[in-house]
Amino acid sequence: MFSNSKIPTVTSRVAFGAFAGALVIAASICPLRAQNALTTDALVGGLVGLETTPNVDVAALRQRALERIKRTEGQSAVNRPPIAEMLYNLPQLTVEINFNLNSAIINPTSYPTLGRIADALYHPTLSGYRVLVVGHTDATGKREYNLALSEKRAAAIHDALVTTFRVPPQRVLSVGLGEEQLQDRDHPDAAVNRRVQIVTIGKVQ
Amino acid sequence: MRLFRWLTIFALLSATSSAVAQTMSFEQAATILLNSCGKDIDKYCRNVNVGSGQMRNCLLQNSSVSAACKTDWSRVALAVQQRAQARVAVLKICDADARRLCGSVEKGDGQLLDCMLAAKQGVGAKCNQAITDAGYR
Repeated sequence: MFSNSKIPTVTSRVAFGAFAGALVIAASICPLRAQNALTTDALVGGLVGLETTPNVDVAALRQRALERIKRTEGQSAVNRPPIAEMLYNLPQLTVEINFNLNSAIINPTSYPTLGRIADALYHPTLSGYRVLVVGHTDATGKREYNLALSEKRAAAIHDALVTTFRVPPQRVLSVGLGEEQLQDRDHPDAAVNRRVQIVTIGKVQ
Repeated sequence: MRLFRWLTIFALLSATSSAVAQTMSFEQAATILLNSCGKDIDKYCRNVNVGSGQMRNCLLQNSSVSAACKTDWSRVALAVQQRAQARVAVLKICDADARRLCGSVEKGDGQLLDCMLAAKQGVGAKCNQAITDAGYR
């Protein structure tokens, strides 16, 4: 129950409307197919094991994304390099949260997933750690709009965890990276790019 | 056949209410909200986010929202509060037992709880109850 092993789990994508912001669950290691969403233990397993003390500056990350959009305006999204490579080295999971079309409203179908994330954060194994909720979009539409939408969606998850599930606010941060950190760089419009990550970024101070 | 159906419904209802009586996981709490309020939220509070602090008012002040949703929203909110408080309280209540039984165990990453669960014979009644209330077993 309190194992520290990483449990790779992937769930199938849940469709919610034609253009829903459904997000694929994909653990970073050795994906397996499973019918159900990530369990609390799987979430804990995916988020445990922070070995370094990363210096993740959320405000700087936000600023860097904005500046790059201005600097490289009009450039193709194909093979766009990630804006925050340091996140790849941290314990993380991609979780599936359904949002209403073009909005940051979390669909009620995703409430249980939020509850599971809260359960994982309250788990003794993780209770000493801080996490970052990272929102991503695909490259359909304008980059600035996508950045803002992902920011609002990540913030909505943060707010639900902190307000509805009473996770201490100092334990959860959020940031949106829009289409600046694509999962499938060869296919920027692919659905797999629309996702929310939870990343362990440090110990609670 | 009809009787069987009613018995099934009754069994499901009593299972739900007994789960609510104890402290519940956040996933259980959220699932009750989805099942009880999901349709009303889609219908009457579509532009309100669950964590915004406005969902409660949106649901409770709308006369079209089902009574079941209103009741469940309030009791789930209470249950979440109880679970969250229990998880803070357990640290304090169990502090003396933890020092006595697991003093050499490093704090953090769950090792202390593992030690306490393993040493359950020596754990005092209050601490034992606090561990249960926190949902740690």
